[in-house]
Amino acid sequence: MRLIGNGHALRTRAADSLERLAKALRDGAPSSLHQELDSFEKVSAILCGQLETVTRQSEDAANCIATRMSEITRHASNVATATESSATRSRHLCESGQDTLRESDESLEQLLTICKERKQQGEADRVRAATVATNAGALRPLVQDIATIARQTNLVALNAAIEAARAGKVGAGFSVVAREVRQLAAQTAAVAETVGERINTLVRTIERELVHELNARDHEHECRELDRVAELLGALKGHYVMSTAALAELTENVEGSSGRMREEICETLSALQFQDITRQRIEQVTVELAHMSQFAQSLQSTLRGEDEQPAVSIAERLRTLDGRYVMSDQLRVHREVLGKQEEGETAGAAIELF
Amino acid sequence: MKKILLVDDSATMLLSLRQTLEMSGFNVSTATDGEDGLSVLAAGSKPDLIITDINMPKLDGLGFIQAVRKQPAYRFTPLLVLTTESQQARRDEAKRLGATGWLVKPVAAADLVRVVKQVVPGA
Repeated sequence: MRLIGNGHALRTRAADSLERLAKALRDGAPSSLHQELDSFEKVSAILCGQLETVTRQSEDAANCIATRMSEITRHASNVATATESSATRSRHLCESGQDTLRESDESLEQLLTICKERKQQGEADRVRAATVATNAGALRPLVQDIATIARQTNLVALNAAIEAARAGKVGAGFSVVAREVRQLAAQTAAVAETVGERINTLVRTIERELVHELNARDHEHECRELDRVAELLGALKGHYVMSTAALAELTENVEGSSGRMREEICETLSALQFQDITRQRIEQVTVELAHMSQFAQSLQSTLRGEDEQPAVSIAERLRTLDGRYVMSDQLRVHREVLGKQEEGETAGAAIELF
Repeated sequence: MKKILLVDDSATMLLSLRQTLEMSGFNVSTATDGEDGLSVLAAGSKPDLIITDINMPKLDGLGFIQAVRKQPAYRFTPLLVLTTESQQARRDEAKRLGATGWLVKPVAAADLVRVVKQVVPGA
């Protein structure tokens, strides 16, 4: 806006100078004419100086913007690289965590299987122990019967020995038999005691088997705990999967924003081409102003009567001005100012591949 | 990474185009006029693409194209003209001298990168 304002002011001042010059010529006052021509030359020099300053300042500003954009690009690139690196590390950690979770799942499944097998085994042991206990318990009355029979046999043998003693010599042989029977009864009683003790030992063993059954009940508790751990691990896995998805989304967003920012920076940098276009247009204006100044000098010399090669007249310069434009925009402005219609060749495509 | 030589007398153009092309993954070297451009090529730079302005001091764009095409090593290197000029006669002259394409400033970054990728094989 400021440049446009300055340009307008410069155009107004130039037009004023020319108007005063024309007036001086119309009035035919030589001293005034010399003064106006001298002023015109100075104004022209000032305008050229102003335009050169505008060119230099706009070039400095555009270069500063380009350099700053370059810095922004560097920072943006660093942010994008750091984010990408963090995202890659996080992705690896997530993948590793998921592997660990998968392994934990498998181990837990194996533990549950083992626990269930142990529980079934314990139940089978308990049933077997109960059977053995029943069978062992059934032996106790038999031992009692054998002991009773042994005691009664001993009494019978004792009576037989008494009767054999009464019979005297005749009962001597029978006395030997009665002694043998008593010895057998004593042995039978001893055996019955041993069998009884072994049955008791067997019963104690069975009792220990029953403790195993209690252990089997502990396996059930273990299984319940393992189930709970499995549930917790499942929940953890769910959170992990959600975290991974959120991280992936974040990374994608950052990468997307980074890409869009890069595109915007590129387009902003492209917009700086205006400076080169403006510079060339100002250079062309400066050349024309310089010529007008030169023409004013030539005119002054002619008025002073000095013999000098006259410069190309402004009117002649104006006739050939449109041939010195290189941009279609320059030609458009020229024709607009002079109120001319579009003519001749049209501008080619902005982008053309041969 | 494909290499591009930029030839332009405007420091702003060199800065902005260099940034744009480097951000798009190209390796960019620069020269400030036609003579400087020929020196860069003579120094052994083997660009995959040359982008040149037309209005430059010392040696202008058309003279530069002519000199580049005389060198066997760069006879077929893609060469784009990026200029403010829109005159058909100059465009035809550039084409006759061996330019690959003509782009009128200002050109959008996306369009420039698209054209560059179009003319540089494997870019």
